[in-house]
Amino acid sequence: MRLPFFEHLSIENYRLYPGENSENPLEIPLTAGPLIVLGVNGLGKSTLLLLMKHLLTGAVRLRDAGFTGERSDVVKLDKNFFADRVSDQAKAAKAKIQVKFGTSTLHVSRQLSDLALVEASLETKSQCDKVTNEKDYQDLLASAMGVADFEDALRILNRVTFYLENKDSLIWDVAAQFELFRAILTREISHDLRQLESEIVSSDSSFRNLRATLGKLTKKRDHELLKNEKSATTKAHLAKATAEYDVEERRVIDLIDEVDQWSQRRSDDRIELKRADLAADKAAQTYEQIKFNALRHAFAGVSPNEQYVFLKLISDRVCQSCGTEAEEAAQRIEKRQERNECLVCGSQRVDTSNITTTSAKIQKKAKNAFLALQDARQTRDDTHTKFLESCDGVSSTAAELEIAREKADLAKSNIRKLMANLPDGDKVELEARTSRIEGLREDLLSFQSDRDEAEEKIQNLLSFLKTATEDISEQLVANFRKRAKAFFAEDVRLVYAPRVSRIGQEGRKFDFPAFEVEMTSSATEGHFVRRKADQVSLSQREYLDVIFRMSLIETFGSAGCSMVVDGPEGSIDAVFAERAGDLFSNFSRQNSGNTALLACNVVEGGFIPNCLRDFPKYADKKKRVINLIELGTPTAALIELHAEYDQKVVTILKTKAR
Amino acid sequence: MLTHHTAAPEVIRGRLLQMMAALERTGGTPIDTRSLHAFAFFANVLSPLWDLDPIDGSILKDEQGPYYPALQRELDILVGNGLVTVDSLEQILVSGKKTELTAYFRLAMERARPVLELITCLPDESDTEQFLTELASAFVEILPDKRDDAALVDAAYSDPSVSGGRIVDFAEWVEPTIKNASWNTAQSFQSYMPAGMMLNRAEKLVMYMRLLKRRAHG
Repeated sequence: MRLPFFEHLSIENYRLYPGENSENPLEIPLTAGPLIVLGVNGLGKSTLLLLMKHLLTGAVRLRDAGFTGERSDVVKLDKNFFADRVSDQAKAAKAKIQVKFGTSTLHVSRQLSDLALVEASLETKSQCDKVTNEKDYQDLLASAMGVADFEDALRILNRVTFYLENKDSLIWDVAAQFELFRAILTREISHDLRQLESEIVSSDSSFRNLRATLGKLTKKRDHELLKNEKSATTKAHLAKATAEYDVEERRVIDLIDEVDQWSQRRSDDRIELKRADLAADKAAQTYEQIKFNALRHAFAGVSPNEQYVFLKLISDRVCQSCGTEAEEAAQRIEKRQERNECLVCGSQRVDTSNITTTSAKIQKKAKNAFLALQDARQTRDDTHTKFLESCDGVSSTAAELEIAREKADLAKSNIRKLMANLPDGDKVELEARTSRIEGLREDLLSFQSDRDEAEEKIQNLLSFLKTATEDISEQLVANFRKRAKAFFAEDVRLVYAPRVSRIGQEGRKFDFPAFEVEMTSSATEGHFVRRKADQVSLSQREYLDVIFRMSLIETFGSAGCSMVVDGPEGSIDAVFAERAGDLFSNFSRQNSGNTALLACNVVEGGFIPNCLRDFPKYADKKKRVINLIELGTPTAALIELHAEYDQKVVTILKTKAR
Repeated sequence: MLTHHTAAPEVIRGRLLQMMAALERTGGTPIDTRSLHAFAFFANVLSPLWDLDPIDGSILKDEQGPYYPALQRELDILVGNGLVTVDSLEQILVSGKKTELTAYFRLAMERARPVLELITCLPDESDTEQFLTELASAFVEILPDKRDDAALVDAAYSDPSVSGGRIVDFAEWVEPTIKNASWNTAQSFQSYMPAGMMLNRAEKLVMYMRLLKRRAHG
């Protein structure tokens, strides 16, 4: 798989970017290192990044990740998107981009009025393939990127290379992760996997639709029979039983959801409990070791067994022999040690050469270790309580579910019994209708069988993807950790955690490769799983995604790669602006060959200076800025305040990195 | 601290005494803390070979190797009760300059014998004794400083789909056979046998432990 490295952008006759001194076409070289697209609101910063994206992809976008069945993953976009931004409808406007994919170079040229392809070519060392229609171009792009098809190329561009205004998430979207890893890691079977998903979703959907139809037909049959039914009492009972059945069925569905939620919580709480338990044990060991060092001399002549028991007594304040609390005994031993008395019987030691007083440093160390031990034990107790709560949640909800199922079964059996009591004439009718229903039921089973067959096949293919993801997970996790450590105040870990899910709404569950984030909480030192975007702040949400993408680029990108980010300075405060600047500076450090193309507002603070920290001279910094204040069509605000904006830009570029 | 599916403290203590007795019989004592926890881990993951229940069906994956806080607590109590003896206490180097205080344990045979005899009288425990003896015989073949490594390369513990700091679940909330990679690997040896040759459970156990030994010894 090859990721893009943007080398050059050329824009001709597009009124949004007339260029400095109306140079036409506007030529923008995109050399390795950080590049800032600078401008004020309305100047077209985001549009410039979108233009780069759609030069590559055409007027399409990818559907949201997920199992969509037979629907295409690619959706058409408004092709007049760029035309609508200028008064002449971009009639004569064209743009051209040059992109390197490994050793090949792709040139794409499009009309900006409707994003129609003018021409594209892929140059390799030995040949140059030219295409002029969209379908051939899509194949050419997939081939340049080394992926199975255009959809997979779009996935990679959308979720790795471009992080634009709509902030399509990757780290918070496990379905998107699955599709991305499928595209990157299993090129040979990516198409088959997608095809089987489609078959499963389609069979599953047909199965459920037919089942719903069957349900309706059955209900209708029962209703009609009721109309003819002579016994008013049976009719009333039947209506009541049917209503009860409907209520219980709905309740069963709700409770299944609740059980799933509780089970997820219990699973997370179990991890926390095991960690807290281990942490408490480690804290006890640390304290015991300090005590052992402090008591070394006092332990002279005491057997290792008794030493061990004393150490446990001192650290746990519990007698290991009888299990009772032994604070007094622990204090007594500590005092004996201080007075150079025998730890076992309390007699004064004769040999004074062994007298050592515990230094203030060791005392402080011991005190701190003991406090840490107490904290760790408290945390362990708290997490234990939390775990028990979620266990109770699972069992009580499961018990409710069981009762609801029993009630539903009872109501169903009631309905059957009442039906049996219907008059004979109605029974004949019932049998005829039932026979028709049975016919449909056979079709239903056939759909179910199709789904099962496709699920059997996909299981094998998914195991390839799982293994391939596991092979890269260590590297990806390490790359992520390195960057996250430099950026976040919290300790952040990327964790490989396959997600168990169904492809259809029913049917088998499969393991899908996925990564999730663990962060320390401000309240405790433990790591907590953050599975949803709303579990972190806005800036954390965005930068976790940015760092995840950078890590993917580092893990999969063989040569220099580009990353394109819109508004990286938008969600962060002054302190984190500097860190964010450093993050992009490090990513695109020239010897890495990477480019970070960042669209920013004219903002003071550390973001831009730190981002350009490898270019200390003003003139060099200026070359790293695509300044739309000079190159774009000025807005009303810019016309009025041009001089002030120019001055601000100079000030920002002269500010030294911190 | 117990999860819902960890055995009761008395059961852990009983199993610990049986483990120590098996290690005594096979020359595996005195045994250091980490090795004892590694042994306990193997006893848990391989227990379905003998149709036995593990004392803990899951473990937190830690880079230093398997460690059961609940088991350690019961071991300390056995020391306090005089059923297990600490042979020596040593500071060992764990990484860089970091040292760890480690104890070496052995069974206090005279005091433990009546308890062990009582346990063995229970109808389901004679199988446990046989299982642990087979396991201990294979375990002591691994060099003492490589026993941790053997646990780290165990099929269940090294499952790449479980990251460090997450839980390896082989019998707590999952089927103790099908979802237990160690058991599955031990069972798979049968497929390499010539037609007509059937491996018994002890042979499967020994073959599995020798595989880990080769991996750990490098």
